[in-house]
Amino acid sequence: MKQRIGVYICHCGGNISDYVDVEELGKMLAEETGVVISKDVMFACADSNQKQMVSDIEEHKLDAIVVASCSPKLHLHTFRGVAERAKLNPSNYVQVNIREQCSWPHSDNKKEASIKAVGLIRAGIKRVSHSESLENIEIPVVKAALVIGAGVAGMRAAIDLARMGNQVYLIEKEAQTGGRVAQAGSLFMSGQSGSELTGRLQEEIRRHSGITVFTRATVEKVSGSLGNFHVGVSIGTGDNDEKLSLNVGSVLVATGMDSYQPKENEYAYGSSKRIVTLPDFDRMVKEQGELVVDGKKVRQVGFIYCVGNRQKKGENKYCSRFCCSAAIHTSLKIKEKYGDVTAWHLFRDIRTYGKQEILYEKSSKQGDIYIRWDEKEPPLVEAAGDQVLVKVKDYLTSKEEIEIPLDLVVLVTGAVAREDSRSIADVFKIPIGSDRFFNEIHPKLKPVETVIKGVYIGGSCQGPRNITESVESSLSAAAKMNALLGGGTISLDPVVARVNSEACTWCGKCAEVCDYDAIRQIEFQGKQVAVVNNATCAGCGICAPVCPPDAIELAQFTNLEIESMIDGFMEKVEMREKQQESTTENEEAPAVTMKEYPQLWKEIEEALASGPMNIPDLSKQINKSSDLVTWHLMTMNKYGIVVPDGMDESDTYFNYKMKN
Amino acid sequence: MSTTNSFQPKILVFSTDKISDPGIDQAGLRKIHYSPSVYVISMPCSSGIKPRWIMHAYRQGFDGVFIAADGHECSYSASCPDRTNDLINHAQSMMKEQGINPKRIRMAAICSVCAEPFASHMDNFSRILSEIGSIQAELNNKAS
Amino acid sequence: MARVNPEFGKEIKKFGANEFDACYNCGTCTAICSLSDGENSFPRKMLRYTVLGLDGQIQRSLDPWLCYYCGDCSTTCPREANPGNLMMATRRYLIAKYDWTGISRMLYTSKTFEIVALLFIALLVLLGFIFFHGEMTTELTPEGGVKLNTFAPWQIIELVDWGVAAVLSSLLLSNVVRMYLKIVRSRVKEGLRIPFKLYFTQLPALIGHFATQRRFAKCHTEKISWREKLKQGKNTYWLVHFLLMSSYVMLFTMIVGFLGWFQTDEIHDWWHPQRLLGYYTTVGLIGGIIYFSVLRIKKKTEKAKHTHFTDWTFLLLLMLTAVTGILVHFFRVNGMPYPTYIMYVVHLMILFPMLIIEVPFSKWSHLAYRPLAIYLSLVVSKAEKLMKQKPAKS
Ligand SMILES: Cc1cc2nc3c(=O)[nH]c(=O)nc-3n(C[C@H](O)[C@H](O)[C@H](O)COP(=O)(O)OP(=O)(O)OC[C@H]3O[C@@H](n4cnc5c(N)ncnc54)[C@H](O)[C@@H]3O)c2cc1C
Ligand code: SF4
Ligand code: SF4
Ligand code: SF4
Ligand code: SF4
Ligand code: SF4
Repeated sequence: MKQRIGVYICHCGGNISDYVDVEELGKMLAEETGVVISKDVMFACADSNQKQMVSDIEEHKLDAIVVASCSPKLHLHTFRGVAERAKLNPSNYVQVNIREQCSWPHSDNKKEASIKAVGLIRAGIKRVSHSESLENIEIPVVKAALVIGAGVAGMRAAIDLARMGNQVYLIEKEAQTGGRVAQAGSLFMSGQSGSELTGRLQEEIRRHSGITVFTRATVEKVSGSLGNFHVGVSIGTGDNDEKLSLNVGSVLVATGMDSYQPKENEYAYGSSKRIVTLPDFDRMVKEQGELVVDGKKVRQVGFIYCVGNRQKKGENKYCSRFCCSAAIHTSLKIKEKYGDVTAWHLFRDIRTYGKQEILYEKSSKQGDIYIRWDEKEPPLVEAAGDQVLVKVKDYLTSKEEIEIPLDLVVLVTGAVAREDSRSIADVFKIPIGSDRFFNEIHPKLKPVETVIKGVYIGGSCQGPRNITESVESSLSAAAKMNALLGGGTISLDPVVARVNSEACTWCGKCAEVCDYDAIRQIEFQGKQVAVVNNATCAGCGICAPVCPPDAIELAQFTNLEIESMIDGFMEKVEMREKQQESTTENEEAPAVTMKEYPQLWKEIEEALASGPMNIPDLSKQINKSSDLVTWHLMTMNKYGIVVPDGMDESDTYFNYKMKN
Repeated sequence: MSTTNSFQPKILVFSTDKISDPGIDQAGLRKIHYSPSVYVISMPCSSGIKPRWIMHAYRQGFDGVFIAADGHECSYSASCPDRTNDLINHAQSMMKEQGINPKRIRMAAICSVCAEPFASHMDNFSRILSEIGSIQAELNNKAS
Repeated sequence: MARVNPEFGKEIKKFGANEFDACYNCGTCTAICSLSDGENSFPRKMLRYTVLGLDGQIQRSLDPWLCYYCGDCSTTCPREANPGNLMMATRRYLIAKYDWTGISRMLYTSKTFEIVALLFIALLVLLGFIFFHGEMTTELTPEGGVKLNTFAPWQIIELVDWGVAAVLSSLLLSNVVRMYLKIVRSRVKEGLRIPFKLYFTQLPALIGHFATQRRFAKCHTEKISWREKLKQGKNTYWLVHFLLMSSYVMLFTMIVGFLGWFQTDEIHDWWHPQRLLGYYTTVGLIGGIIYFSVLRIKKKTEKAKHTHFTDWTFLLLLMLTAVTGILVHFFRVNGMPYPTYIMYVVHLMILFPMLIIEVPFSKWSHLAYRPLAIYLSLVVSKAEKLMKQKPAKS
């Protein structure tokens, strides 16, 4: 139990004190058990107050502090910093939100707002009185990284990791590195060939001594956790496999994607040499000097889009993003290379987003023919002798049903997850979506992190992507990994779960719900109990509610802390009568009662001493953003410290001056 | 009942640090009003709320408990909605034991900009709780 | 089910359309065209048909004939797909399709063919004169004029005219019938019933349009009076076109029907209808030719920007006909026998090729096709309306 608590209640320049009687609160809460000092301050975050707090902590030997002010999203770290500077463990600090969650939403009811504020602060005081000093968890890390999959994503990340001074192991399943791109013909948008691009990366990898490449290699098993993984790798094919064990601090999975393989008879696939997939066609274009199939020159080429993708009823509901651009790029390419070829694009929607729109623009201008169809009425494809007949409805001529005689039909196949993605997911215990691509923790907030700390995903194994996007994600993973590996140790947030070994009966429920695989079974004083791996625990607390004997809890969210907060909310509040009056007094003579104001006010004051000034000039003079200046100047105006002084010369802004 | 007019139900809200608590902050930022007897405790994840805390809240006089969950936005676990659901079911079975109306617990997904939805959830819940009446009465009934 | 013709784009390019494949079907042209009525996607639909290669649809289509090439669509098209020019090229294509001899097609698609054909007919005329000309007397008429009718008796020339006219008009007529069939038969096959009496009730429209080509003036519909338009020069194009065309038609009628009256040896007074007519037509022709040539050279209006080579030949021939005609008149009146005879032969060496080539196979077939198309489109749309009403009644 903390015995020497300091409480600071913020006016927020009126944002709080206009609705909540902070002065009275300050007096009232000084009487709470354990509270040594309690005061109201104009701006808790102001430099001057921070300094005051540090000296208060030292002078009064405070063992915990509570600041009741704005949302912790804004200033939690500010005040933790204050605690640290005063050599107080920052987990003994609690911030109470009496602005966003009290004075503002209840600005219509000042009395109730003050009562609620008392409850909120009391809860904070009670919580902090049960707080424990937690130390960050320090974990040693092996300064080596494992990258699985040597496609563009994996290779590019490996190079960056090595450049930043990490030992890198790059594992590739195939005999050659380069992945899908190495086989590709001409690439959009650059027009360079796939092998040119991968060749450059391969060259760079070869030159870099920090990267060790293993081809024909796969991961067999993994143990250990963040900072210290042991990865069993098997190299070679079948008979005389070589086994290898690698010790790395972090892992990047960049195993890529597969191209969709049309089913037998999907768009008559397989019934004729004249019906091919886009990757096949790309290869033809790369290899053939003249576009010929079965001895006949190809003059009419049809592209059917979204094959195996965007299936409302089927498995693959997603759009592969790169195939529209890839198909259009190829159609530009064939015109350029073979001249007299007409391209018929039978599409559902054209998704050449971003700069790729230029491709569409070019293609549609050069006379490529675009015909849109709906999923309900897909084109009918039929091989007929040395032609392929495609029937489709044209929406742009009152749904005329047309039949196009083509020499070649290209099925624009999208991406699917790799066949073996499930086995990789199992080895690393990373989750996999219903589309069988790997799942990040959060698509927006944690886009390359997996639930397994230290294991990242990048490139098209997360979902269909073009090269730019694949490399972007693998590089951001590389940056994250480097941050982990860089320092030799990692310091982790101490808010993790812990088990009360006495009470635990090893029922395994907690381990079952933990998505992070952080709970393991060990022997403790002759019985089996659960233990949490601090390095991998994410601090979600999901394990806590499921434990039958209530033996597992999350630091800072213990029963004692939470239940005492509830008690704090509900303790009876008696606002003294005269306090209502004092609020009004407060409003009448605000400037007089002002005790604190931030550094910025002083600067504004000094600047205005030389004469009236408008806000843009003022912000320039004191070198602060005009937003900030406006905000503070308006507060000063409200408290009668500054007053408007007519319009400036340009008649655009008000000038302000000191009141006297 | 004539007393329901002056009866202001007390609501305990469990929010989440990264998503629903910022949503509740938004309501304040935009001065959207809701009942001042709403108190919020923020957690890392709504699936970490212990049913015993919920029971403690009722015993201390909270008329209702509202769980402002992240739903599918949760950045910890894809199965978060299920887990939160499980613990609410668990809490409800405990409430049944104690004779507490199961309507006194509610859950909704609140996103980080869900200011209006949050306020209207509070208004609705307050209304429902006013109709049910104070928790004190319910606990007293059980005792007698 | 319509089979597309993937080669159609290339085909239409031979007729002078080039930019249409940039069209992205935005419909701006339809919005701007004063002839579209909001239902028929005119002229956008023709572009779509062309891009897809639906030649069957194009051949049965009347739309190209309704367009007078005001060029509004081409100036507003955001893709510079030049729909107006496509409509023009489609008209050339259709003329070639209606013509069963295949000569039109050759004329439009090959410069060499056109020149060879013109030269060939000129040669025939020359040979005709070499072998069959009358006496080349130097004796003058009492008024001092050349006895042209002795060298080329009008009765014989008129006979030849009639023969040629008979051949030409039967060719033209057979092409017109083919046009009718292409347009009506496919629609009837699809179940359109055209009550016979419609052909009569819509007849006045045919005559009116033939005589005035008045749809022209409908382009650029603005709410100002006709006179105002005239003042502002907005109708100049139509006016000059009318002048040129009427001169041409009159001349043609004179030569074929009334040569005896037109080609006399006596010299009438200046106010005599024969001379007045001669002056009117000469002024009409020369004035018109100069006006259109200047337009085409300056490329000011949209349609003048895309001159097909057949347009140039036509203007040139017309000019030469008029000039040589004047010279014949001049030499004859001034009693210069040999220059008169030679100039007369040259005159006919230009006139005949022009008539034979242009009337049934090229430019001047517009004169027949366009009014017929307007007439048929009225008939067809009336018939369609009737069909729609009927089931509603029953
Ligand atoms: C037809 C087509 C045309 C395209 N055209 C373009 C284009 O023009 N421009 C563009 O930007 N994008 C294009 N793309 C997309 C581009 O191919 C991808 O964005 C890119 O390949 C993704 O790279 P990656 O490294 O993520 O995956 P991949 O290239 O698939 O590489 C993954 C690598 O991991 C290896 N691997 C897989 N599993 C294991 C395992 N268990 N152990 C070890 N190694 C493993 C694979 O063998 C492979 O080498 C095209 C795609 C297709 C299908
Ligand atoms: S990128 Fe284009 S072709 Fe590929 S799935 Fe999406 S819409 Fe279909
Ligand atoms: S749920 Fe509780 S009792 Fe069961 S293993 Fe986990 S900590 Fe032990
Ligand atoms: S808090 Fe519990 S459930 Fe969450 S990661 Fe840690 S051990 Fe797993
Ligand atoms: S021709 Fe031009 S204006 Fe007309 S639809 Fe095509 S792009 Fe649009
Ligand atoms: S040229 Fe004039 S009349 Fe012809 S389609 Fe275009 S806008 Fe219509």
